[in-house]
Amino acid sequence: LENIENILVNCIRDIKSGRSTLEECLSRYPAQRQELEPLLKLALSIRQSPAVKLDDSYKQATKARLLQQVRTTSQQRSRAFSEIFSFGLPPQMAWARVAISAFIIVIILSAMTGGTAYASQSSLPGDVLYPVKLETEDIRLFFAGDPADKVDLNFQFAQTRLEELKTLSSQNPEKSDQAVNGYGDNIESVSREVGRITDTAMRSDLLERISRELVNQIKFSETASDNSSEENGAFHTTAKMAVAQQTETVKMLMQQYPLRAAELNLKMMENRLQRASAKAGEQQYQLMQESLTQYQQFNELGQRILEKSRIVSSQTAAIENLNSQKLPGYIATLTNLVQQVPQEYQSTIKSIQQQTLQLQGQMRSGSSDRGNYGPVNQDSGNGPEPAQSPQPTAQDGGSSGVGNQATGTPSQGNGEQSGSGAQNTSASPSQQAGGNGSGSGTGPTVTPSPGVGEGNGSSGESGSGSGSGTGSGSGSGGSGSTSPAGGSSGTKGGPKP
Amino acid sequence: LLSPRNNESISGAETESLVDRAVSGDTEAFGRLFDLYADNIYRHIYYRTGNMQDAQDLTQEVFARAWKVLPKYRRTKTPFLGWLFTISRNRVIDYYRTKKDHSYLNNEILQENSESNPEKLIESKFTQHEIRKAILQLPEDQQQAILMSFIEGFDYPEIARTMNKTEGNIRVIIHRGLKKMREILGQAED
Repeated sequence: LENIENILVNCIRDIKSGRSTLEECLSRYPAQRQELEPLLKLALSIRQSPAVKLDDSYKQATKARLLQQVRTTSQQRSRAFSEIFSFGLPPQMAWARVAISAFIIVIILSAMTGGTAYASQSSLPGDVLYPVKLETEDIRLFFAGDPADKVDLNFQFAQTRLEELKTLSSQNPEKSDQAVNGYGDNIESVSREVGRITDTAMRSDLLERISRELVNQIKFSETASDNSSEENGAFHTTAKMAVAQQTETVKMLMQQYPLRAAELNLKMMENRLQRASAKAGEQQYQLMQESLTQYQQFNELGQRILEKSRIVSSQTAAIENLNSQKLPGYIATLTNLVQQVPQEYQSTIKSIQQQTLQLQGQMRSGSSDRGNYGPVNQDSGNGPEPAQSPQPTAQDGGSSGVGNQATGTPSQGNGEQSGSGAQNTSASPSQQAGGNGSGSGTGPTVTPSPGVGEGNGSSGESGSGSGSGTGSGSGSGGSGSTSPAGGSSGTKGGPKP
Repeated sequence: LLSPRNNESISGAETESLVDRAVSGDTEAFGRLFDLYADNIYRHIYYRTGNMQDAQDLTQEVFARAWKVLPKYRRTKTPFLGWLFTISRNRVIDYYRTKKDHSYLNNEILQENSESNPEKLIESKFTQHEIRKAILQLPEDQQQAILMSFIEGFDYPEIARTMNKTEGNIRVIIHRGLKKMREILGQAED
C-alpha cells in the first residue's frame, strides 16, 4: 500500500511535468482524495515570485563590498574540531574517536604541566612549536564555557597574533601571513560566538565591548602600519580586517539596539575621518582615500540604521538627534579636506560629502526623544526593558567641544569620555583577566568637529563594567583650526605592546 | 552539480571550475559565483526571514562565510548551491536565535500582482503573500525542504543530501509541511 507521502510527491511531480492533470491524479487515488486534493492544490500554488530578487544596483554594491571583504579574509586554515578528532575513522567508530581524543587531551594536559605547551607560548610562525601554541589555543577555546568567555579568548588570541606580527616585522616579515590569517580567524570567531547568545542585554553589552576592542586594535594596527616601512604590509591588512569586523558588529547591534548602533557607527565615521585628515596632512593620499572609503561604508550603515529604526523601533528621534549633533562637523571636515588635497581627489571627497549630506537630510522628526536605549520590540514599539532616561555620566574633557555631555545607560559602570586627544596615544589591543580597560584618543582634527575619544576602564574587581556614552559639541573655533590636544583618553588596563 | 534555477544557466563543470579557482584564492571567480547564486540565496533567506534588509545582510554574510570555508566544500558531496543553502540555514538559525519578535510578518513581505505570474498552474485561493507568510511559520526543516523543492526546484535526492537526510525523510517532511501550511492558511481564512 503506497503511503500518502509518496502519493503526494509523485502526483506533484507528474502534474508539474505535464504527465497528468490534477483530476487524473486524484482519480488514481480515490481513497486519499480528500486529504490529497487540498495539499496538491496548495503545493502547486507555491511558486517563486519574480519580485523576490536582489535589486541589480544593490547586488553590484554588495558584490563590491563582499570582494573587498574577501580580499582581506583568509580561507579557513584550521580544521573543525570534529574533523581534528575524527582521526580518519568512520562515524561508526565514534567510541574509538572518543578514546583517542581523551588520550591525546591527557597527553596535552600533561605536556602543558611538563612545559612543552608553556614553552610554545613564545613561539612565532615558522617555529617548530608554533603549531602546539595554536592547538593549545584551540583546546582552550573548545573548553571555554560560554560564548562570552570564547569572545574574550578570541580577543586575547587576536592580540597575541598582533604581538607576533610586531616581532616578526623586525625579524622575519615573510612569515607574517600565518599570523595575519590567524588574526582574521580570531576576530571573525567573535561574531559567531555573539550570534549564539540569546540574551539580548548580554549580547548588546558584549557587542559594545567588542566594538571598543576593535577600535583599539584598529588603532594599534594602523599605528604599527604607519611606523612600518613596508607598504600595504601585514598591519595594514589587520587594520582593514578589524574595520570590516567593526561594520559587522554595528550591523549586529543594529538589529535590536539601533540607537547604540548609531552611536558606535558615528564614532567609527569620526574615527575614519580623523585618520583621513591625518593622512591628508601627511600627503599620503592613497591612505586618505582608503579611510574615506571606510567612512563611506559607515555612512551607508548610518542610513540603514536610521531606516531600520523607522521600521522597528521608537528610537528614530534619538538617532536623528545624535546625527544632527555629529554630521555637521563631519561635513565641515570634508569641506576642509577638499581644500587641502590635490584636485584629483576632490571629486571623490565631494561625493562622499554628498552622501553625508543625504544622511543628514534623512532626518525628519524632532529631537525630543533622547532616551530609549533598550532593545527594539516591534510588537509594542517599545523595548521590553523600561525606557531609560539618559543620565549624564561623564563630562567632556576635550577642548574642541563646548558643553559636551556624555550619556550612558544608568546601569553601566562607566562612561566614555569625549574629546579630541593626541593621535599617538598608544592604546593597545588588550584583554586582561580581571580588568578591562582601553582608551583611544583622537585628533588632530582639521575642523572643529565634535571630538570623540574612548575611555573605558573598569573600576570594579570583576572588570565587567562597561559604558557607552557620547560626547558631542559644536566646535567654537574657526574653520581650519587644528586642535591636537586636550582630550582625555583612558588607558587604564590597556597595556602593551 | 546544480545549476541555479531561474538564473542564467551554467553547467556543473563551469561551476566546478569557478569553485576550484575560488578555492585557490581567485576572488574574481568567487565574484562570478556570487553573480550566479546571490539571487537564490537572497530569495531563500527572504522567504525564511520575511525581511528584505535582513535578507540582504544575511546574503552577504553567507557568501563571506562561504569564502572562508570554501576549501572544505570539496569534502562535502552536496551541490554547490545546496552547500550555500546549508550555510544560509545556519545563518538563519542564528538569526532567529537572536531575534524574538515576528511582527514583520505583517508588513514587510512584498505584496505582488498575482496576475503577472506566468507560472500560474492552478487556481489558488491563496495569494503568494499569504503563502509566504505561512511558510515563515513552519518549523525550520519544513521551511527548508519546501523552499528547496517548490521555490528553488531541487529534486528530492538533492534536498536529502543537502539536509543530510534520506529521501524518505524529505517526503515526510514535505507532506507535514504542506499539512501545516494548510492549517495555518485555514486559520487565516477563518
